[in-house]
Amino acid sequence: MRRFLSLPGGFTLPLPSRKHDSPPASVLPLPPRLVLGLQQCLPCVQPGQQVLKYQRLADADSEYGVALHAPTSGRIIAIQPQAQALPGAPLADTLILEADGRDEALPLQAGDPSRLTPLSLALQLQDMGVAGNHGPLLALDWAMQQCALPLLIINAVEDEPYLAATATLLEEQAEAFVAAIAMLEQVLRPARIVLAVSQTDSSEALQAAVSQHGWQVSTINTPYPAGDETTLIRQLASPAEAAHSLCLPADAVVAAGAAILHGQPCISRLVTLVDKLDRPGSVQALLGTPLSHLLNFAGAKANYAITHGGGLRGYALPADQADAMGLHWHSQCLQARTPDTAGQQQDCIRCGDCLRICPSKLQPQELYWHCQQDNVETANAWGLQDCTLCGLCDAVCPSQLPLLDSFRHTALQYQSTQQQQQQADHARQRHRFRQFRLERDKQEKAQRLAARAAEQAAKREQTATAAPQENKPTPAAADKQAAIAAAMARAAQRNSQHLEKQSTSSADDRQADARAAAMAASRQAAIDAAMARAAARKAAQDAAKAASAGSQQVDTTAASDDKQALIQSAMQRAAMQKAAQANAAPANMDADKKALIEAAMQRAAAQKTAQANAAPTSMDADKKALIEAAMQRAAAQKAAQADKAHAPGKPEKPENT
Amino acid sequence: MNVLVFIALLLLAVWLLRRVMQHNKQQPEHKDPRPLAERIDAILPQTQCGQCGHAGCQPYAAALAKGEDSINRCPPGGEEGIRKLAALLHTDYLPFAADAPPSKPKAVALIDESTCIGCTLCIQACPVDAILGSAKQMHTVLAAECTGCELCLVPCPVDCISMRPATSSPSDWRWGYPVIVIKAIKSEARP
Ligand code: SF4
Ligand code: SF4
Ligand code: SF4
Ligand code: SF4
Repeated sequence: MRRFLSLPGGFTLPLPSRKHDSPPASVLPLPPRLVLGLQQCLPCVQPGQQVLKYQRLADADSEYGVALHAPTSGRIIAIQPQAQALPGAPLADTLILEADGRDEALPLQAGDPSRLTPLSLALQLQDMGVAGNHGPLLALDWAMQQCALPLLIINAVEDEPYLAATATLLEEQAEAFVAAIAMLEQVLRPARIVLAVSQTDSSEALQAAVSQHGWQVSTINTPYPAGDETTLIRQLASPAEAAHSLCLPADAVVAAGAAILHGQPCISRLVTLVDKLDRPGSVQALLGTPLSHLLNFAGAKANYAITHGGGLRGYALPADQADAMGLHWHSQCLQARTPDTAGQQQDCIRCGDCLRICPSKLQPQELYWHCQQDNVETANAWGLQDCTLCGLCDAVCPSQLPLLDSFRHTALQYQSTQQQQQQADHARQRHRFRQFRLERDKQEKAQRLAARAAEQAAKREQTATAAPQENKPTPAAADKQAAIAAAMARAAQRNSQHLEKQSTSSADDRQADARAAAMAASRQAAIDAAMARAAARKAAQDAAKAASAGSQQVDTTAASDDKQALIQSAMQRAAMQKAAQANAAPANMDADKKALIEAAMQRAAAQKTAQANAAPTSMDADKKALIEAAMQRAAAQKAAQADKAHAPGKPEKPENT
Repeated sequence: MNVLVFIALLLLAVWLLRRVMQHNKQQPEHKDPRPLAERIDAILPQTQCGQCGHAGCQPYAAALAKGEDSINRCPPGGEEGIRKLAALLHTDYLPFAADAPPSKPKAVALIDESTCIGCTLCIQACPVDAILGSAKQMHTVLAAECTGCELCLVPCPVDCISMRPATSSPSDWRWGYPVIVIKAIKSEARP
């Protein structure tokens, strides 16, 4: 890891001057249809269903999702995957609502904040669809912890060029804003509330209302990116408070106020429309309004490119899909650019402007180089993970290199690689468990067979000993019998161990095999013990029977001794044979799994052929041809491998470590 | 005497130089205690599809570790996988083997539940136990566990399993790859 010198200079971006006479927000005419993305929520309506305004359309699918409500009355036409107004325009399930123009609403129920706890507030906000920067406005796991809140920051800072929606909101809905903060204060009981506004946003009306409540207004005049949650908390919270403070965006706070105080779900937001438009300004638009409808309302020229978001961090959206992409809660600003403003890139001229302006003290020109090379490892070593994706380097670069875009791309690439790795690890675990399971089943079967063979042998021995009446088993004979049983069990165990060893060498899975061996050993021990117990019991029974019969103790003659030894040896042979037979199949499988697989494949192919002959369809024929081709390929490869292996003087490849 | 001093100085200089060189030399990677086959297995995609000609990723990794196979046989790993293998084994990058099947985008198996006869053959084929069902009952694929190996397609006697493209979830978002616009520069008329 490389260390960076702390570069002097810092960052002072000459932000384009902003008009702050924000015109009153206009209300958008009702669009003919609404396109509502279903992100982290599951629909609870059916296509074709008639819905009323404020009716719930989707429930949150996890603690990180929020619910979705109908912005107007109408009919659900379809639920289908569509491009979203998100970076990269990913496909996601989208609910399409055809407005009927009547705008019939469900009655709203005003809530009472005095009876809410932080947790019930968080749940209610999730139900009302009020989203913050990451999921629901109040994170559920935070609300569940029920820790005291030392500092609540209401973030009304807009520091990117073009963003003006919050300023307009504060001007127009100052009372609602103040009421919403009062509601939050009542429920969350923070020790201190700070209202962070940018320099020019602090209107006097707001100041007066705020001072009446004893809140603090803090004017943020540090340069970009001052409006970020982390930066604000670092600036406004004392070190003791920093860990537990909360920073909430002002527009979501207003929506939360409406949701709790008036029971109105979050169905619309203020959007700033800027740039090459006849009537730029802020509009109150329903969520799900198609972007083209918004831009046409503001008088966009026929041919435009869309940038979603502010002047520094905004991302381009495909303009030809503007009909299909709906507004979502994070669409603060839409820019309609003339299409040819992009481009004009040159090579990096090593001017160093980007590294002087980078607030994270990175070297964007180096990072860019590695990102262009798709060299994620090196880019990480140069601090890609520390890049806040603020976009300053991109804004100042005289060569107009797409620095921000490549950083975003590479950072996401890295994330997805991590994800794939996780999935692969998961698949490996499952595969190994499966191998372990198959191995275990095989061993269990072998042991069952061995146990049954031993049992049968014992039974035969019993009948054999019972047949000659004069040969009553003595305690000595019983001992012998037990010893034989034990020996047989030991032999079976040896066999299974041998089998295990073979399988260990074939399957290189040490951990699973160790586990399997441990399990097999314990099971074997249990079986041994059980068999020994059974043998002892039988011997005792036999002895008791002999005693109760009252027959005289017959001397164990030499002849009977011989006979017994003969029988025993024959039995042992039989048992061994049986065990060997039982073990042969799995052992072969281990030794030549490949051959078996091949045979199975051939069988399958033959089956397929038979099928194809029975009902020859073109698909089957195709498949058969494919399979044959694959088999031929495999065979050829195998032959080539064998050739290679047998080729004389083949240099040993050293094992690289 | 002078010669001795000179030799001593020379030795000192060499020793210092070596120290400096050693210090500057970047350690390429810290020593990984796992055996080579394990480390190779760790970067294989674990689709367990057998397209490399082995019975799974682990046997292929073992063959690679013994130097018995080439690194360009795993289609699910793609070029990126070959590059990783080449870096790990300190060999050169190889283009895909000509006889290797083409690499495909990730897909997930789907069982047509009305056609499934419950023969359990696909369960026995699935290397990651991603199919759920029992004899004479309808079977289904756990999409989250399916690696897309296609091994269940061949044994199915009624051909009711098909591969569908893996659904993209919001976590699969990609920023579009930054495209650099190429402009024609007016060539100056040569004399
Ligand atoms: S985008 Fe990243 S590299 Fe560029 S200035 Fe911001 S933090 Fe620095
Ligand atoms: S600002 Fe642009 S041209 Fe200048 S050093 Fe950075 S990347 Fe290169
Ligand atoms: S081709 Fe690749 S993914 Fe498939 S089994 Fe071989 S190594 Fe594993
Ligand atoms: S379900 Fe089919 S394609 Fe998916 S992992 Fe199992 S065998 Fe492979």
